[in-house]
Amino acid sequence: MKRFWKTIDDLGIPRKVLDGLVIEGSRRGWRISTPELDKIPKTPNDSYGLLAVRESGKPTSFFLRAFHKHIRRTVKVNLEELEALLSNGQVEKKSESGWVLITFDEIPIGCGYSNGKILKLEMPKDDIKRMTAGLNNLLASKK
Amino acid sequence: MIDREKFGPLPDEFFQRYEELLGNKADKFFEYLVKPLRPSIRVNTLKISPDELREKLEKHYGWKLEEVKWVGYAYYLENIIQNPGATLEHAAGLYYVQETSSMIPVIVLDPKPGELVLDIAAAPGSKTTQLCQEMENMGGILANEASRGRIAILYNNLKRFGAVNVRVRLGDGRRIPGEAIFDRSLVDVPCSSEATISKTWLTAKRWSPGFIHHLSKLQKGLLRSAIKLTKPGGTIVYSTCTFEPEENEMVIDWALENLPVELEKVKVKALEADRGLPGFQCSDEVLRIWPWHEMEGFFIAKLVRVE
Ligand SMILES: C[S@@+](CC[C@H](N)C(=O)[O-])C[C@H]1O[C@@H](n2cnc3c(N)ncnc32)[C@H](O)[C@@H]1O
Repeated sequence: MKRFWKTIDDLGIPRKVLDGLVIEGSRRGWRISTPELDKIPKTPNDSYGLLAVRESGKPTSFFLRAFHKHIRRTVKVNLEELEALLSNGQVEKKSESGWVLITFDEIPIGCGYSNGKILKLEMPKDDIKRMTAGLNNLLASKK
Repeated sequence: MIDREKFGPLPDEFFQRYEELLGNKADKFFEYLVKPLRPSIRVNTLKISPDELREKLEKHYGWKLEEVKWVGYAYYLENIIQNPGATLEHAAGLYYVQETSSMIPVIVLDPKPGELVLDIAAAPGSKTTQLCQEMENMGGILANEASRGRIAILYNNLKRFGAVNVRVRLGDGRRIPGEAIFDRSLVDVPCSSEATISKTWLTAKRWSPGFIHHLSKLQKGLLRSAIKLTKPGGTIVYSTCTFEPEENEMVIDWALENLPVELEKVKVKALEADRGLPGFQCSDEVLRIWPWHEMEGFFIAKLVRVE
């Protein structure tokens, strides 16, 4: 649980944003859900809530996008930087180090990791594919 | 003259059926049934306001967005050449591509934050995600789905949307165990999908009176199960995207005769629609969207569980 809160605090998400939600640890990490879901009878293999932070302390892109309005540690990238990130997986960019939310024109793109100088994209492959298709459309519309 | 080519492998019986049912409106029905619809999207208000999203999409892709007045958080897209689902904003879960008529059942169900809601046939999750936003990501939703293949799409849509208030169950909706705990239930059943005939030939290919009869039995089973799981006083909305009376008015009349429910009039402010086909107990209370309303066809009924 300590690791979960460290990630939340590092991202600058006020703890009160998660007030009233259930935070539960599992082998995969920490999942957030609502207390009302407990009243619904469980069946084997059902799934609930949203996986927020992995065992390693890495936040999921889905969680970051869901709570994007509350995240302080965001790195704003421009069009060229977004292109570089999606095609090479990283870009030179000075920023606070640690897990971050990458945004472009206030669109929450997903999870990144910064060592202070280099920003790395930390998103699932499928997600990168979807974002790349979107970026290509955006670039095509500019022409 | 109707151009039968456009209808795929639909048998003559389909055309005869609607000529008999609709009389002088039949030609209009066939004409509009295969007319392309304007694409539309639903804004994920959990993440962004409709105005902010409109600004971004117009700026980034050159689209024009026109508000769907009776929804409040949906737009028609104009001037669009790209796939409306291939944008950065879509990948970030800021909106969902959905036909406008498919947004009606959740509006009619009118779920509130903090409530428990059952979505008995949920994949791919268009209406589950709409329930999430109407409930402000609070309370609890049981999203049930019988198909293993389709449940994967439901998971992805829920994650993309940022839903925290959903439990997903894989199984037959007719066999959900438990007590009547739900405040509201959505019964958006598998149907013969006649309204989507212009989109997919599979719908036309499998159309037959026997199939419709089989579906009608399944629909009654799902409706019975949802009613059983809904609290007395709770609301149940039943919907299909087909025009068949056997899957629509006849299912509702059967429920009124056999199950502990009463009918309530479906009302959606500023929406142009028709009432049910004449001659049924539920005719004046249910809602039908026909192709000439320039939306995908839909049938919507609202029931209240009694003791
Ligand atoms: C009309 S679709 C639902 C669409 C969904 N409500 C939405 O808005 O995205 C009907 C769904 O019912 C599922 N289904 C079929 N038989 C079922 C059953 N016995 N129990 C639960 N779901 C079933 C189908 O696999 C299909 O996904």
